[in-house]
Amino acid sequence: MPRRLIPIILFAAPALFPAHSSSAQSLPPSSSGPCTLQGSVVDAVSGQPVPHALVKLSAAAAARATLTDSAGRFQFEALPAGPVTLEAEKPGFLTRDRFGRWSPPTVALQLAPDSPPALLKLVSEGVIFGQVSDENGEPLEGFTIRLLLRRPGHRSLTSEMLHRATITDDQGRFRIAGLRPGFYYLEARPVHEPALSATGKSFAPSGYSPAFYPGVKDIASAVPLKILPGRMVQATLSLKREPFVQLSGTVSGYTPDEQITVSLEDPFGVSASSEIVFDRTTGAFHTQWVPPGVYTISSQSAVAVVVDEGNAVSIASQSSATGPSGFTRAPTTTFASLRVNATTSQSNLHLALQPTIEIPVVVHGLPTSNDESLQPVPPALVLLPKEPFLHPNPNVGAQPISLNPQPTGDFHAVFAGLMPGTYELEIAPQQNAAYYAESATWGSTDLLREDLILDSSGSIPPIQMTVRDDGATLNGKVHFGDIPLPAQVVLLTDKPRAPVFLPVSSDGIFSISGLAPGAYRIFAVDSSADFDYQDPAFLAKISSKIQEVTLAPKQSASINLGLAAVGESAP
Amino acid sequence: MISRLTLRAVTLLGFFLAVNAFAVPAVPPAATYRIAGIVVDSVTGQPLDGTEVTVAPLQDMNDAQSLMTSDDGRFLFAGLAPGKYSLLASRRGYASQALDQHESFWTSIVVGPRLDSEHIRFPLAPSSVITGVVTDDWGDPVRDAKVLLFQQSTFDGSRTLRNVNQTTTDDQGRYRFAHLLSGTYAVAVFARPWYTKNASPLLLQTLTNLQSIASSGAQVEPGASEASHASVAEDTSQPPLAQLFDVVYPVTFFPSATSLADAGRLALAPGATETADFQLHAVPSVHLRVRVPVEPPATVVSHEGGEETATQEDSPAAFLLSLHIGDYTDQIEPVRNEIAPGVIELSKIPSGEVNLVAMSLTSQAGNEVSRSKELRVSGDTDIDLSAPGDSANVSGVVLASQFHPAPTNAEQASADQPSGGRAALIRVIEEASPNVTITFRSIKTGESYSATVSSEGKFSFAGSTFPAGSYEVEFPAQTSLRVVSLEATGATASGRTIDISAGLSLNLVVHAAEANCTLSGFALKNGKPVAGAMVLLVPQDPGHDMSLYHRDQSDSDGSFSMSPLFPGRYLLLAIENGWDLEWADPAILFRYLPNGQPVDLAPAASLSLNAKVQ
Repeated sequence: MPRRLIPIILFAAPALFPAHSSSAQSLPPSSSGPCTLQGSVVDAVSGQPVPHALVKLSAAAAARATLTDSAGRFQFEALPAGPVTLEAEKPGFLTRDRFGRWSPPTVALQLAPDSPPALLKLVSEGVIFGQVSDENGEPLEGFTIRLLLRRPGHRSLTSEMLHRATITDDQGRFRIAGLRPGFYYLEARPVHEPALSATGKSFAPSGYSPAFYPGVKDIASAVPLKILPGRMVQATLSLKREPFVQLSGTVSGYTPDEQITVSLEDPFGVSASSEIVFDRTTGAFHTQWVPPGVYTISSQSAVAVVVDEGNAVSIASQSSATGPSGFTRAPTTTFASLRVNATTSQSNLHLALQPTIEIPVVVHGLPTSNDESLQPVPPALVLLPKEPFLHPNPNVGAQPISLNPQPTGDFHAVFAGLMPGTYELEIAPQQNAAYYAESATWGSTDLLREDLILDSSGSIPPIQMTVRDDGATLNGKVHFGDIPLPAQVVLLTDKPRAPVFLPVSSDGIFSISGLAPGAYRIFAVDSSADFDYQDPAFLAKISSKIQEVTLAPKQSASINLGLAAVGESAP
Repeated sequence: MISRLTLRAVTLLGFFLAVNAFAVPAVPPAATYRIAGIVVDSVTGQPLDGTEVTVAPLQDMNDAQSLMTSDDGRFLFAGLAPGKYSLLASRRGYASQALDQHESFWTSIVVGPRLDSEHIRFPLAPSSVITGVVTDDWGDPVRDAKVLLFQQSTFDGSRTLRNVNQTTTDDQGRYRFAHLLSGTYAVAVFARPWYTKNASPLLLQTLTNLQSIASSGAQVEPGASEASHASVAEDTSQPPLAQLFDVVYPVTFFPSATSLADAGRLALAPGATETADFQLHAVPSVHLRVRVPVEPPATVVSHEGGEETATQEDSPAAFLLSLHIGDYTDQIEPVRNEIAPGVIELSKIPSGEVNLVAMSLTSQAGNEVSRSKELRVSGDTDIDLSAPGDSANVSGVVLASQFHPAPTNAEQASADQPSGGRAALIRVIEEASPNVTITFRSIKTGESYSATVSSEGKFSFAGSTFPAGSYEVEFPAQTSLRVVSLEATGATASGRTIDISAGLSLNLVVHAAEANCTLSGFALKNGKPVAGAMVLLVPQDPGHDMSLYHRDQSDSDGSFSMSPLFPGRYLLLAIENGWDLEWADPAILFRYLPNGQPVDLAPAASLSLNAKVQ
């Protein structure tokens, strides 16, 4: 392949250069003559030049690369005039991540003989380093350090995907580099099983529980570490050795031929089901030795769970009866759960399995079509439990269900596997969604304004939802300051549901379609912010950056936003 | 912490355990035993608290139990079944080790009636550390550089450096090896300049080609010559562009050597920390121009939409380039460029000891014939792997009990397959075992030719020929199979060497021996068992074949066991403090030989013999 490339360049060359007489020794001073591109690479935060950085240039005819000199300067010669793109990189500075969420600024310019020097800014990566030690100040080796990121507006933490796991060394030290700006929670977890005490007098092993910085066991008291560009943060954790505990008890309420599973979740929401043993003939369960903390033990009758390609979860089984009104019903499952604050071993815990509840859903307003390939894209529906641990597989509650078209023109679906409790209906806008929810009611409850309170008695009416396709479109641009930070655009409405979060590209562009008409308050925030968007005090603080927009059906609007400075604005 | 020691122990003892010559004494079912003792600092003798002590039965190293010592440093494991156990200890600030550990050998604790396993003194050496920083030409840290730790040992009887650990540098270019036993070490770094990682082969190629056009003065359109010449400013700190990415860091040994032999030695005392910093310098990459046989393009017939289309496909020569740093091996991904028909240039190769294996694909399915050359690369080198040999085809058969000729009748041999017993077991092992490779190594050029051996023992180099010369026949990848003698009509064979002359069509019969013997016993001094002695089996006619030697360490009751061994005649030695001996040196070994016991191992024999400790 490379060999054929050369003739192309040679043949293309005359096209790039004006057809002048071959006797010309010096190049004609025309605007399309060969140009020289100079520039420099600097640190975006400090402004200092970055020596020995790699600068990559791509133009129509060629790709070039060079290293900056000791003063951070670079030069490319003999380039054709026209569009060129420049990108710089060096270890120690943030580069494109594989999810495409963050990319360094590239400079795209139209090259001409009189082009000014180009300036490329590199943002240095953040670093978290520190030490884990015990209560005597002795270093603790062999602890896995994990960083968890809270996405704004989301309740759960996601683990920051690092290219390798970090384990504390023989001095208890660890170091994690390559961090993008954000709020990070640091978790330390021992790798090894605890050892029993040597003389075997007491049979309870002691060891260390997983902990969050600065050394607490629950996320509510954990202190996040704020990483701004180029910031190095030191984190020291002090952990105390504690005796481990065992939990045991029984499960009741199942028939001998039912398949029952018993699971254990540790205080960090991590599944620890390998540590729990269940004997279904006696109904007895017990855990291995586990660190003290708040655990969730749950049990449910095991049914096959099918995930289809649309990532919708439905319950599959051999016997599915057809209930009234033509709904296809999944058989009921049973569920029980307990939250145990285990500071010492506990026995005689009891899980009484209860049947789960289903809520049917009817969606009106989606057009039917005989053409299977023209299925409309309905909004995704999610029921979020307020108390996740009380429900089977909380992720099921948070997963959208697929809508099945019916001949009558309505779409049916069902939320299955629910337990009594309080829920929030979340209607998540999909990419290219053409429909928005005009109304969603359940009996006399307006689900767009109120919570769904489910109890185990009485009949369960279906959720009635009406969607419309005359939604509005909104797009716009966020203007960053000097340092581009990952940003999000937030849309708040008068209906107290979760705000809509829009990702912003590295150029600041955002867009959404299928928005319900109405009044919105819109603002853009730095993604590393960790504030409560419903908090009136927070909104008052950034009020100058909030824009109010009222959208009519099918209206297309465009706005410009400045980045609301949240918390510390300067690194 | 049971880490690599576990793996080594399993490797060493896996076979042995299956054929354990020890009869476990008959005991009443309820009798259990204990392992107890004290962990102390090997330098001060003070008891060590907070030490994790682990015992695991040798036949199931996963069934481990751990205890943590308290202030008195004592440990006690009760309720143990009779048998042999490994005893490991690890503690913050100390080297992790098994009891009385020497390289990969240790003293196992033997537990049972009339055996004392409750008064063990376990000295732990304070941990030593080797740490350092790796920087580049400009003083910038080099991250993700591979750092190799070598320890001086007498693994094969002479003082050699063996790779014992690896790690990578962090974002500050820093690395750290901790929990080391005192000893003599060397450190090497293997890294790629970061700015060459991003140069896609296409980009590198474009730049190289543009540069070569410009420098060769090829005819180009007026005004276009400058477009095809990639250049940079006249800043002396910048290398010419085409060479910018064609650079490598040579494998660097502390402090700045480029070969293991010249590597500086670090003497590490117990509890000491030594620093070994590196500054890597980018040098032009080595280029290997490899000439390969130009294969006629294969015709591929594809069926698409009911139509048959025949297309010509070039069969690419496949290369495997591996870098040897002492006994450490790593694969290299060179940039390859076909610069002329049949000539492939490989670049981005660091200088060092490089083993190039060129595999040309043969027509027979499952038969891989490869031609390889081991060479020390210090500059651009031409390698010719295309020279047609002078001889005709070489093929043959290996005779060993693990190879079975195929059934002669044409019908599916399933009816003939043994359904039980040893033969059925062999069939299962055969079907599961990986391919055996036979290698012919030219004594003159050092080039090797390898082919796979089928389950029937047959091999063939059809399609490739050998240059005339003397070749040594061996099974380099197999530690339990070795060539004993060769038989060929029309060619001279002596020992394991065969002379291949021009125009020869050779059918070779290779007599091979399998390691399937076991030797066990007790190391006794004046009739009393000695624990921790080095037991050495010395072949009577070694013929410089180190694979015939075997070592073991006697356990707490003086017992030892060695397996798998090749049949043959040996001398059995036991040396009490023999762990530092360079026993491959005949002059050193000489004085122990008179007191050794002769052993004659028949194929598949399992013998028991006591060794007198010297």
